[in-house]
Amino acid sequence: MSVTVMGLPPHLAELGRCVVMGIVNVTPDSFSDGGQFLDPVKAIAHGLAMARQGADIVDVGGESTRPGSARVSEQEELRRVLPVVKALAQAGVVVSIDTMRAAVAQAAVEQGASLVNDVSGGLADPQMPAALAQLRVPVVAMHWRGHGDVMHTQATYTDVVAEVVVELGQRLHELGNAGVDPQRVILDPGLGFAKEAEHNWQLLAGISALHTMGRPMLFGASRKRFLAPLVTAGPHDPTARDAATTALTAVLAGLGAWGVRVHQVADNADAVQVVQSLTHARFRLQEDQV
Amino acid sequence: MTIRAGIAGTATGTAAPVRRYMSTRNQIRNPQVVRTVLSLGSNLGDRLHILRQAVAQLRAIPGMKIRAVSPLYDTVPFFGEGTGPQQEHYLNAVVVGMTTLSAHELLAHTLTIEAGAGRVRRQRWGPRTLDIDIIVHGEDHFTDQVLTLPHPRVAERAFVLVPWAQVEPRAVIPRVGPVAALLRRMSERDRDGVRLWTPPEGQSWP
Repeated sequence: MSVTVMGLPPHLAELGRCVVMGIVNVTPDSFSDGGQFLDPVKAIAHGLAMARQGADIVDVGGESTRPGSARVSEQEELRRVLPVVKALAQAGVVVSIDTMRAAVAQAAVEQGASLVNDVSGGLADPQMPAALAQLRVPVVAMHWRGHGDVMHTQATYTDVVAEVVVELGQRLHELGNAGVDPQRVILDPGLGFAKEAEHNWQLLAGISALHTMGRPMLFGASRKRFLAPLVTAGPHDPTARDAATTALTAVLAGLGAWGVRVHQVADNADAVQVVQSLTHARFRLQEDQV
Repeated sequence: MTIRAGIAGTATGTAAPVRRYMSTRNQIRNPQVVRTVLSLGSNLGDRLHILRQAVAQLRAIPGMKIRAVSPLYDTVPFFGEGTGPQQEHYLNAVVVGMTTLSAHELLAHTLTIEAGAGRVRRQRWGPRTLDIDIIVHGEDHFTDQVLTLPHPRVAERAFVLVPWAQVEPRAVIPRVGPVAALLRRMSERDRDGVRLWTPPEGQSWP
């Protein structure tokens, strides 16, 4: 899908393939890599490794958003993410800041972050839409109904795809009213956020309906629980879901997803390259037939 | 658990190819010690204090031993004296160390130290509180998304070569050449832009 995002670094804007966003959680409690990267040196090393393995963007977050998680203070979130954002940006890595707080988004962009990834789509912090308008960086707005401690109660839908389209449309509209150019916005259906497994599968199957909004779509399926029943080895081990994640990446890249947000970069970057090679071969085949 | 899942669960969190996994295991058993050379610079704030702190933090990196710290040199910035953005002179030094860390592990440490010194990159050649560049790391020669080794502009940087030659006059940069020869090739003007700097009375270095 050739929808452009205003304000991306030029090499990303002209990528011509699905963007691979690598996840760095600077948290003690993330569901699938919790506690590994609370030390800034380790988090930075992990981000650098991801960039070398083919991550186009490294997404740095200091607050766990997993189901059941409690919030951290703004001060603690800043303390966790800022050194990592600053160091990775300094090394030439395109960094996005994964936060629901306007103050964190602002500080991170000042330290070199190129995008803001707000899983609440501007809902959690009333200051966020105005802050995003002022920062003028690309924004990921995710479908979200409530914080981690309550979201399991909010997974009620009659038509999940239609409702997510409507609610994401409202986010786009509200951000626009606050002065955020819709051309800067990337949307994310929020797999696993106030969603049961069936909802996630329907959203994945409904990608073409999501694309009717006319904005690029980012998908975060990596290591999420809805993949567990498909995994033969270690259903309770999130890292055992990497192959299933990679399979979804290939499918989504083939269906025109703008990007995938993943924990394990190398295999997903390869999957995206495979899809791109196929796409190019398809063009060559068509040219030959003309 | 499959081998793959085991790799994905290692500290780097990445599923490296098996070949690399094996070499990592060998390194753990018999870590390879290599020589590394770092260039330090500061042209904002209390430059001496910032560089002294930086050396102390480099000393504290696990898996790294500092072997030599050069004297301090005062350097006219690249675009100094009316040719670009007005900047204060740099204070520069070179640190030689032995390390078991990979170049990328070391980079994570130097970036962390830089970030702690409050450096913000606003202009590519703009002023900086603290700049730490890895110049060489063993025999490493590569370019990737985050690092090029040996440092791609070392041959034209008097503020690296002059202090380095002070502590290692016979140093050779892999695939580039001897430091002394590079210095001889440099114009007098470039070499003279780098002047030995002595800390004020009562202040020590390093």
